[in-house]
Amino acid sequence: MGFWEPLFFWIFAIGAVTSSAMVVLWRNPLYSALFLILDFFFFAGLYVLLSAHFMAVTQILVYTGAIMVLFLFIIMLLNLKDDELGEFEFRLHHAVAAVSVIALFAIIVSALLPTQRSEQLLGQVENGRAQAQEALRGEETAFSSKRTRLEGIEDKSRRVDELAKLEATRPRLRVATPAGVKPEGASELTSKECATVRSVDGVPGLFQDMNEEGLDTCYQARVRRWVSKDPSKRMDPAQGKYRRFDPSKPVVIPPRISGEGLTTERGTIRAGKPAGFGTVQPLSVLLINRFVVPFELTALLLLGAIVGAVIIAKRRL
Amino acid sequence: MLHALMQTGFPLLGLLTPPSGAEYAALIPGAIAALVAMLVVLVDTFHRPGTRRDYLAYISAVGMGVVVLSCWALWDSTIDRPVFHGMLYLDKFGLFFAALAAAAGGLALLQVPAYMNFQRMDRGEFYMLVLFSVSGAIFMANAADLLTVFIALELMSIPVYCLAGYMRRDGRGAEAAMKYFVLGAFSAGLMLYGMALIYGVTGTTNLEYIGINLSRVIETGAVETGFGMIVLGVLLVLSGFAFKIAAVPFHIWTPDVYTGSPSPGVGFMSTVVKAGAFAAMLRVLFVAFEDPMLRGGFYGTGWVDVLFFMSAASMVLGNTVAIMQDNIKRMLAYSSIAHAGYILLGIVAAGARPEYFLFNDAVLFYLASYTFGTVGAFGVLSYLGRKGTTVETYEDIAGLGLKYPFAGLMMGVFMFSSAGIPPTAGFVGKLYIFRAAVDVGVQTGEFAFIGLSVLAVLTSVAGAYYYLRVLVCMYMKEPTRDDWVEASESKSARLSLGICAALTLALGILPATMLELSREGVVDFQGVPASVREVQREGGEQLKQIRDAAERSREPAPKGEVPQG
Amino acid sequence: MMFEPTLFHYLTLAAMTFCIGVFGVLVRRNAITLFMCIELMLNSVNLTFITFSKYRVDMDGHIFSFFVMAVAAAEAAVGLAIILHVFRHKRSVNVDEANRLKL
Repeated sequence: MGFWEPLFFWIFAIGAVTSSAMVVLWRNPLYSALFLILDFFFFAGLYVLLSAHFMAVTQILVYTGAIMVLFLFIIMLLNLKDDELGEFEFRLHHAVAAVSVIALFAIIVSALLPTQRSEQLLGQVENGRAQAQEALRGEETAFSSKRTRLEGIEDKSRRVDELAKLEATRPRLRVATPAGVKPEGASELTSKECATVRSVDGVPGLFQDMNEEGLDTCYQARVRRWVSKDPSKRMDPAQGKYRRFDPSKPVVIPPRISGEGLTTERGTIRAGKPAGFGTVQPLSVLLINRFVVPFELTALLLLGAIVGAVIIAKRRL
Repeated sequence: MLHALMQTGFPLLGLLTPPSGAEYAALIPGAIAALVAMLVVLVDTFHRPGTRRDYLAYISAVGMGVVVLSCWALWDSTIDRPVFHGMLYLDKFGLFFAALAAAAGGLALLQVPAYMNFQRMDRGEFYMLVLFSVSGAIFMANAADLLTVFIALELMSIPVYCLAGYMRRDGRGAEAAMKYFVLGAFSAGLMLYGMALIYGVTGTTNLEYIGINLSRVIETGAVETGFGMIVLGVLLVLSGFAFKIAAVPFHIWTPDVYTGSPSPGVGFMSTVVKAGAFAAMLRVLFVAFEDPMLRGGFYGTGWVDVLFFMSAASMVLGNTVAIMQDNIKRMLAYSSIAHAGYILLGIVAAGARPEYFLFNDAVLFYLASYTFGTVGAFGVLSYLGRKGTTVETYEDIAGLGLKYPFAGLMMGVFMFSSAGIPPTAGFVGKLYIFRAAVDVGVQTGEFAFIGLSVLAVLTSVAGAYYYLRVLVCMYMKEPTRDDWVEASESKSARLSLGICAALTLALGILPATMLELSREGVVDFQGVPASVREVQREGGEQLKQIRDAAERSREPAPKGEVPQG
Repeated sequence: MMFEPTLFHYLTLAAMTFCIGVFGVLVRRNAITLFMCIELMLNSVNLTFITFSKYRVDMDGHIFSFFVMAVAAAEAAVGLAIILHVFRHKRSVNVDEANRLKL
C-alpha cells in the first residue's frame, strides 16, 4: 500500500469531515459555501485515490466550478445582512436532531461493519507474500547457477539455444494470495501481485481491499471475459450485465487489431491501449451504449429545469 | 465514427448489440409527451399578446390523446424482456400507467387556460412543465433500472416543484414551492443513499439482477453479514417513494403544497405524480425486492410490514385530519393521503405472499378511479375561480351548486366517487381493494390483516362525512358573496370535467373493461421472478381460482366489508 | 496496518459526511445553507457509489454518480430560483418564517 496513499487518504478524510462540519456550523451562508467548495476539493482527492480520475475532474468542474458559483452568486445577490441571518439560539430540537443523527450514523456503521477488512486474512496474505519471495530467492539461486553452467558450453549455436530455453523459465513472483482469495480473473495474474483481500462475507464480488495494480489487472481481465467468444467463459449472468438483453442474437465482436493495424476503406486504424478503470473511455462508451436512455432523459430534465427556473425567477415575464 | 470506435481495441462496444427496431417502441409514449411539450413552447413563441391560450390546451390534450392511442396501439406488441440493455420495459403494466398519466395530464391541462387567464398568469410554460412531468411519469412506470427510476423521478418532480411556485404574485405559492423542493430534494438524497447501498451489495443497478443477487446474498451469506446494508437500502429507497406518494410519515409537505399551488396543477400533481411513483414502487418492490426474506409479511419484518403500518397510519390520519379542515384544497390533500393508504393496503395484500401477486389489479383499478375523480374535483374548484380570486374554502363555494348547476352536478359525481358511493368508480375501486384485502386476510388467517381491512372500511365511512359536506355547502347554504363576476364558464374546462365525470361514472357502472385492462396489466408485468411467472402464465384463470378459494373459505369472515357512504 | 484505507474506511467516511448533511437539513433554518447540506448528502452518495465501484471493479457506480451530478446541477438551478422567488416575497430566506400556509 505504501506510504503516500494512506497519508493522503487521512488528509482528505479529516479535511472532508472538518469542512462538512464547518458548512453546517457556520452561521453565514457565504462561509458555508466557501467551506463546501473546500469540501468538494477533498472529495475530488478521494475520488483520485479511488481511481475515479474522470469523476474527480467532473467533481471539480461541475460542482465547484458550476454549482457552487451559482450558490455564491445567489448569496451575493440576496446580500443578507447580519441581523437577517438570525441569532443562533440553542433549542431543544437541535439536541434531538443531534441524537437522532448520531443514532442514524450508528445504524449505518453497524450495517457497514461486515465490510471491514479481516486482519487475519491480511496476515495470511503477508505470510504468503513472504513465502513466495523466499521461494523466489531459492529459485533465482538455482537459475543463476544453471545459467553459469550453460554459459560454459562451447558450441555457440547450442549455447544460444539452451540459454533462450532457460530464459523462458526465469523465475517470477507468483500471486501471493491464499486460496479462495483471488478475484475474478485473477488466474491470469502472474507476476503482478494482486493485493486483493477476499470478498466481504456473504456479499460475493465485493472486495475489502485492493491496490491500484490489482484493480487495473482485474478490470482488464473482466473486460476480456465480457467479450469472450466462449459463452461459458463469459461473465456470471447474475452479475447483471449483458446477458439477458438480447439472448437471441449472436454477439458481434469486431476483429482484433494487431500491431500493424487494420486497414479499412477509411484508412488504417491502430490499436490503442485498452482504457484503464475510471478513465474517460470506458465511461463514455458505457454512456452512449447501455446508459443511453438515462442520458437522453437527463437532457429532457435539464430542459425542464431551465424553463422552470426561468418561469419562477424572472421578475417580469 | 462509431465504426472507428468499434475497431479501436476497446472491446466493450462490440459486446452490445444495438437495440432492435422493435425496442424503440418502448420510447414512443414518453417521447411523444416530451415532443408535445417542446411543440407547445414553440407554438407559444408565436402567441399574439392579449388573447387566450385555449389552443395550447387543445394541442396538449390532443397530444396526450395521441399518447393514449399509442399505448393502445402498442398494447399487444409488448416485449418480454427489458429493452435498451436493461433500461426500460415495454409491457402492459407500463402502458397502463402511461395511458393513465397522459389522460390525467391532458384533462388537467384543459382546465388551465380559463383559470390562468383569470389569475393573469396565462403562460405557455405551464403546459410545457406539465407535459414534461407526464413524460417523466411515463418513463418512471416503464423503468427497469434504478438509474432510470431515479432520473425519471427527477424529470417528473422538478417541473412539479416549479408548478408549485407558479403563482408568482402569491407568496403562498413561493412557500409551497420551497417546502416541496427542500423536502423533495432531501428525500431524493435519502433514496439515493439507499440505491448506493443496494448497488454495493448486488453490484448492479438492473432491477431484475438486483432481485437475483439479493436472493443469492441472503441465501449464501449469514444474516449478520450483508443483510444490514440490504435492509438499510430497502428502507431508504422505500422512504423516497413514500414521500412521492405522500404516505404518512412522509406526508408533511402535502397540505401546504396543495394549498399554495394553482388548482389545475394540484389536480395534476396529486394524480400523475402519485401514479408514476406507485408504478415505480411496484416495479422495485416486486422485481428487485421480491425475496421472501425482504418481503417479510405480517411481522416477519419486511417491506410488507412497513407498508402495513404506513397504510394504517395514512388511512387514520388522512381521514381524521381531513374532517377538521376548512379549506377544500387542504381537505382534498389529506384525503389524498388517505387514498394513498388505501392503495398501500392493496399492495400489502398483493405482496403478502408471492402467489397473491395478481391482486395488484385492484391497485391499478383504484389508481384509475382515483385519478379521474381527483382531477375532476380540482377541476371544479378551478372552474369556479373568478377574476383575481380562487375558490378554496367551504364558504367560497356556499350556494354555488344552484348558481352553476353544471359545476354542482360534476362536483357531486366526483365527491361521490371519492367517498366510494355506489354508482361511481370510487365504489368499485374500494370494493376491489377491500375484497383483495379480505381474501388475503382470510386465506392467510392473519387477524391483523382482517383488522386492517375493517379499519379501512371504517375510515372510508368517516371519509364520506367531509366529502358530503362539500355538497351540503354547495346546495344547502346561502351564497356568501354576490358581487363576484361570472365564473369562467370555459368550454375546455367543461369538456374536461365532462370527460372526467363520464369516465368516473363509466368505471362505476361498467367496470368490466377497465378491470380487464388492469388485470392484463398485472398479468403482463415483466420482470417478476419465476415463482410468480408460473402464476402469471395461467393469467386470469389462476386469479379466478385464488378468488374462488377465498370465496369458499370466507364464510367466517365479517360481512361488513362493503363500503357504504 | 490500521491506517491503510480500505472499503470500510471509505464507506464510513461517506456515512459520516452524509449524517452531517442530514444534521444540517434538520437544524439549519437558512434555506441556502439547508440546500448546501443537501448537496453535501448527494456528494456522500457519490462517494459511496464510487467506492463500491472500485471495490467491485465495475464502472456502473461511476455512471450513476455522473448522473447524480447532472441532476444536482438541474436541482441547483431550480432550487436557487425558488429561493430567490421566496426572498422577493418575504425579504428573508428563513424557512421558519415560511408559515403563511399554516391555517
